[in-house]
Amino acid sequence: MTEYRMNISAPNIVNVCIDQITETEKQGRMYDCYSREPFRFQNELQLMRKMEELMDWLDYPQSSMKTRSYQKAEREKPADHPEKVWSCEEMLQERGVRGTMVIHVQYRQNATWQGKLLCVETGETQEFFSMLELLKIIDNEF
Amino acid sequence: MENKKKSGTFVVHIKCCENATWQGDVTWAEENKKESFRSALELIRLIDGALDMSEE
Repeated sequence: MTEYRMNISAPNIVNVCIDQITETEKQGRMYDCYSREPFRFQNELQLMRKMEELMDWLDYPQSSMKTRSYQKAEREKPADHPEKVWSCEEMLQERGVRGTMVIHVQYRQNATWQGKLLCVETGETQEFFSMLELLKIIDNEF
Repeated sequence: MENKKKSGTFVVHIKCCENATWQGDVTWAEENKKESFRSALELIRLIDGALDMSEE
């Protein structure tokens, strides 16, 4: 059994499988515990949006600030009792063609994210203190 | 598949960099609307939201 140097029981753990890297974008699949069907993303922006959607839906970790918008936007309603359809261990078995990373957002403070990223292939864990830092880590890794 | 988004012009002013991210304001030129942002994530969300609105 693989040992993960992070808390893999957190509800918002995601497994990001990078399948293709173009000159400007990374494409792949994102898995969470609430669906066996992956979310396929064409670029990092789609991935970030989906991750935020998941965290709003779970209401975990709770955001300390409400995101600003040019228009009064309705926030995604949190789910009543989100149920996992497969275990984290099972979900984390999925691998990307070009690389795999496990992302755990621990806090959503200062209108951004703080957490840890585990690069599955190297076993290295890195901390990020904002989404900007997370993007930079992903950019450096692949 | 995502809908094709319209284009937009945004003037971004980054005023400071605290908490490992950016703070400043962004003006949506076509609508002449200004909003401030407290992080790069919020900046991306603002621009993305504006493009979604102009799509309708």
